[in-house]
Amino acid sequence: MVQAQQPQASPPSQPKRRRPGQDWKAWPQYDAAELGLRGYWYPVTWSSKVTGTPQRQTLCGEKLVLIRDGGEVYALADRCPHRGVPLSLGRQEFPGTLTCAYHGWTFDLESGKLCAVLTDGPKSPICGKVVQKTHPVEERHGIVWVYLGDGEEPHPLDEQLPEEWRDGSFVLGGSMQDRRGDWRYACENGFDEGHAKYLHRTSLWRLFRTMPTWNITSIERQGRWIHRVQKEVHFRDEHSGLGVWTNYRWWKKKPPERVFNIGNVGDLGKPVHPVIGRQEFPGYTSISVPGVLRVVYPDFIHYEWWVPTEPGHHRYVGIMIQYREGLSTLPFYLKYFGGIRWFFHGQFSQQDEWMVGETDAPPERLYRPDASLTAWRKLVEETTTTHEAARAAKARRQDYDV
Amino acid sequence: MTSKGKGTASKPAKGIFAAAAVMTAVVLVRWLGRRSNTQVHRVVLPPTKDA
Repeated sequence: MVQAQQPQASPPSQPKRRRPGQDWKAWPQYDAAELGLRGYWYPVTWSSKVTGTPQRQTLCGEKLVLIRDGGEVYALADRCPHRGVPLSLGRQEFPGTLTCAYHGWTFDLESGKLCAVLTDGPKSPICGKVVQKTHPVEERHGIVWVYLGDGEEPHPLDEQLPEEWRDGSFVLGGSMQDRRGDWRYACENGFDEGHAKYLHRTSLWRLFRTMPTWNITSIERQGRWIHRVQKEVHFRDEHSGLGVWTNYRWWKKKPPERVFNIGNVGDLGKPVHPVIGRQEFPGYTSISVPGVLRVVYPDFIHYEWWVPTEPGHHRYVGIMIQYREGLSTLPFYLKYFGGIRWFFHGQFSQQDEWMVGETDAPPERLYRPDASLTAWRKLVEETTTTHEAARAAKARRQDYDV
Repeated sequence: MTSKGKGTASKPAKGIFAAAAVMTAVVLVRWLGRRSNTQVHRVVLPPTKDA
């Protein structure tokens, strides 16, 4: 006799534990910021590059047209509301205005108002009824900064520039490069504690400097910046059953067997410039919103801005400054054009570009040094919540037609 | 009149070569700078009230 088997009752289902790293849901605002964080000033181009000829730029997914008129730089949405033609294809027919190349719609640069339509006569009824979106622009330190918002009054640019830029005159060298890769990957790479020791060990910029093999660091917040503070530095390790791993080479400078928090390997003992010393940076690498890295050396400071442009692309703005005045700035010109531009803002940084362009996360499986990455994401989350609330409460500077 | 040895140049000629080399270097650096979207410039802060 065959008895029909009763289906066995399945054990009560256990709630499936979600494996960490499958997504960025722990950082929802960061996750949603593929096109960047709004309500911030971004470096867009060099001041000397903006002339009376309209030029197109992309910032946080928005197409902008930049033009210089009467010495001032203006930024407008680069889409004529009439038929969607880029205004950057147009020209200036009258001072203080920009005219679309297609039907001659002419916009006031300051207010964005449609002030003339050349193909509809001087009394065109549509004049004054269309407002083109404009963006606040400031020129500072030879760079054009654009505030990417939604019509609200911007905060002062100074609140966003590194505090030490107000503490002394300096000479600035920089390079702007359009790059492949999500701006968030670029930020994470910049503040990432782990990669430099392996990825950059072959860079020409570090040809004579031994990179450590691993560090113990902590993250400390100072104002709007978070710093990587080194607690331990290691240079030679025995990996059980595998062998020894080290970046020591006979031609490389022997690193100091001490923990250092200003400058990089081999900078110990170098006098720290008074302006840099005054800042009391807890660590030599720090990052702030909306994506600015600062690396402090005894006598110069390196910055990187990662400016969101289009999905999967960003603009790298690498800047090196040295606190010098007058003729003593001249060696920096030689140093920058002779070495820094090609070895640091060039080959070294292009190793980062390579990896940022290839990164594909989430999913991801993070390891101990990635505490720097998660600290950065947490900073964006915390900052964005308060920043968005403040932005919503701001007065409006413009109501424009979409 | 004796001719100059091979590889020698008069002082004015050397000066012209040196000036040409410097000018070429300057033009090359400026061209490379423009091409690579690179700049170097001074940032002079206005004197503070305390100074």
